[in-house]
Amino acid sequence: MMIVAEKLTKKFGDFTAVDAIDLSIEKGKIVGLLGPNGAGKSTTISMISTLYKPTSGRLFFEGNDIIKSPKWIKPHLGYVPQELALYDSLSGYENLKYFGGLYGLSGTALKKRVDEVSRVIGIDERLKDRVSEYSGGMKRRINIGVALLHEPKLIIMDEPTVGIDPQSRNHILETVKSLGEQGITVIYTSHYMEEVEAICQDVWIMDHGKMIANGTQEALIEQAGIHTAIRMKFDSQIKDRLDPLRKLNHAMAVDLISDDELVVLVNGGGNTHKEVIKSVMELNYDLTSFDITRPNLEQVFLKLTGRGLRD
Amino acid sequence: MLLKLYKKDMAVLLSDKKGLFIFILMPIVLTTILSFALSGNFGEPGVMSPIEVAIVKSYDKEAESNAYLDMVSPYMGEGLASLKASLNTELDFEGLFFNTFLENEEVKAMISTEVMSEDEALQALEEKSVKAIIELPKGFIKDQLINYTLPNRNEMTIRIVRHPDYGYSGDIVESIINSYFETLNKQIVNKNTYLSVGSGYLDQATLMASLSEIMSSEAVSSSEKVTRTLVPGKRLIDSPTYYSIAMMGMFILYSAGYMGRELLREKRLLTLDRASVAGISYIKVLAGKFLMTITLCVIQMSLLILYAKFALGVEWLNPLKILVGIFFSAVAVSGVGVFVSALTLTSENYRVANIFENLLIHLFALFGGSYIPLDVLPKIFMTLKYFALNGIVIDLFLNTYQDADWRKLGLYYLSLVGISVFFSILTVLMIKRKEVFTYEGTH
Ligand SMILES: Nc1ncnc2c1ncn2[C@@H]1O[C@H](COP(=O)(O)OP(=O)(O)OP(=O)(O)O)[C@@H](O)[C@H]1O
Ligand SMILES: [Mg+2]
Repeated sequence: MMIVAEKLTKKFGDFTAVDAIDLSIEKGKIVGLLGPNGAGKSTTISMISTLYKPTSGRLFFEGNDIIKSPKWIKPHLGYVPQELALYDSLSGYENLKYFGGLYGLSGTALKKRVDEVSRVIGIDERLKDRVSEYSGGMKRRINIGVALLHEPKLIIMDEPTVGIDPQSRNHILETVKSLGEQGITVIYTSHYMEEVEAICQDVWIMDHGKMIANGTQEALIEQAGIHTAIRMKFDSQIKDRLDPLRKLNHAMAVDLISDDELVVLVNGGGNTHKEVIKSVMELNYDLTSFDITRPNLEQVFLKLTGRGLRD
Repeated sequence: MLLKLYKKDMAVLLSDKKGLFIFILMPIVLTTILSFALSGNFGEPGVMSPIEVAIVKSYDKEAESNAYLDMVSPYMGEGLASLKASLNTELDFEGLFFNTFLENEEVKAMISTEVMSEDEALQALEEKSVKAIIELPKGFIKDQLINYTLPNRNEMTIRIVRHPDYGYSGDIVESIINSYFETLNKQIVNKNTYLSVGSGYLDQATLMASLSEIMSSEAVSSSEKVTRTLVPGKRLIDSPTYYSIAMMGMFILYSAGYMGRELLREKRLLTLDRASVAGISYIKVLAGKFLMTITLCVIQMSLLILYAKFALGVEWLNPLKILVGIFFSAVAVSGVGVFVSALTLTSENYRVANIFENLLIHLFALFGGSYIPLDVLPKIFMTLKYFALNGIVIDLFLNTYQDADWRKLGLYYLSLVGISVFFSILTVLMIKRKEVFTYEGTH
């Protein structure tokens, strides 16, 4: 395990922002930390980054107690804060050079890394411009690039895609994926579940300072007992012909919505929903259209808390 | 590492055009304006306390009166008796000066005089218990008698000995004395009325009018010349000299103010978090900013000194002493700067830095002598100035301008370093206390 937290707690005065969470992060994985606003994601991340000292609990990086000696994690950690943390009157190049320098890089080694990183984040052309002249997406990319210079083993990103264009977002997601492919461990915080679904292998879900669930996406969906929903529309009345549908394999439930419209809930992951559709076709019902809703983390969260991720 | 932090801070500073304008151009502009606008302006007489002046009588009334009588008696015949009598009335020039002029309420509001021997007076000036000496020369009585009663004129020179620390007081004394003789002189030119001397000329308007006239024209055609001399070995401090030093003292405080915002600014920018994640302690960050502030001050002060030299004609004698003075002043400013910075950071808002910039700097400027020379204010201000950093810096540079010896300057250097060390220690203690709640500095 790369990171292990035991009963990790952070209080701000009387307010408990992170409440005795247990967490373990496997080396080489892209791990999503999901939760609504104020869930305690940033606070958790700040403790792992040694910015906040935990109120209680234990925290280890590769087996070393980093509450006692933060120095164990520092050289190996790349931290991307939730807000832009850049000198915007300086150029992207100057920012990269300065922050790389803080990790002891210098001379040609530093130059080489700045070149590499700027290619990875895709702003090598405008590197000499002031950051204040960059678009939101470019700023976000530099913000990430700054954390990559010293080739960290662990990269922590706190909502790195807030408020940017789809193109930059995709670029960032691709970057994260390729970091994962290089064997770098990534903790990715977001309240965009689509992003987490797209790139994360493991997911931890927080709410009100507590860790309420974790596992692979499939396991979470399975645990929460959420189904694929297929909405079907027929050419004629359907209400008298429901029984054969109810008897289909994998069909958990059939709910009539109107005279010619219904929803079939399908259990199991994988391709079971396709089998159901095939079977309906084989029944020779006059199916005119259908619409599949795959289970997602949003629904998992809804199921666990009774609230949406983004209200 | 320190060098990297420093280089970054300098780059950020140099990218702040508005800041640079305030730090570097404003003092230059203000120095120029003030040195021209205030060169002949001494403030409102009403708000000043009277300037202490020593008067040295180098004449001998008795002997000079007799010499005059001997000189004129061959021509006087019967009138001699009445002339003799009038030596104690209309022609009593000593009485006129001491009783009528110096005792005049308005003059008394401006200068308070005491008669001393020359040695006493010089010592009093050295000790600054008086701010100037008026020396009434040998022949003061005889020459005036001749000038007022005979067609021939004898040149007479009144010396004003002044102390460079009291340049403005010296100017005021000089103008008052000048206006006295100027008025007397007009009376002579008018011929008919030396008898009425002493009644009409002392109203404030006339005094002030002739005062400014004298300031503006060198060529006063009077037979009584007032000359200014300084305490031996001292140089005159004119207004460009004074204001370039005064503005320097004031504007380096803005560097401390800039520094004062830095730490919280970086905290809010989260760049401080980044540095801290990388293992850079707050103390190191502050050390980098300390060096940046020193550099900023050195640039500010050097440019102003050079500007004063080349544009305003101020002659700085000893470049080495100037440089050393600049360096120690910058060190002191940086110490104050990190302190304001730490206070601002621990209070988590800019109030402290704002109070420093918008209130304290102006109070310091006032009490430290950046706005008006303190010698025109009550004496207590001369002491108060040592509580304002700019006051010490101004004093240091006035002394440096006088080419004071290293020992005297050394005391200033020492107190500037003392200020810096004192505030730096407070800063470190404060930051360490904050670190109890975070990780900062534990690595
Ligand atoms: N320094 C602090 N002092 C006091 N309260 C804080 C502090 N930092 C965070 N909190 C509180 O702790 C709670 C958790 O905050 P945190 O920033 O960790 O949430 P988050 O999950 O990152 O939310 P978001 O998605 O909005 O970034 C919030 O209620 C927040 O107001
Ligand atoms: Mg957050």
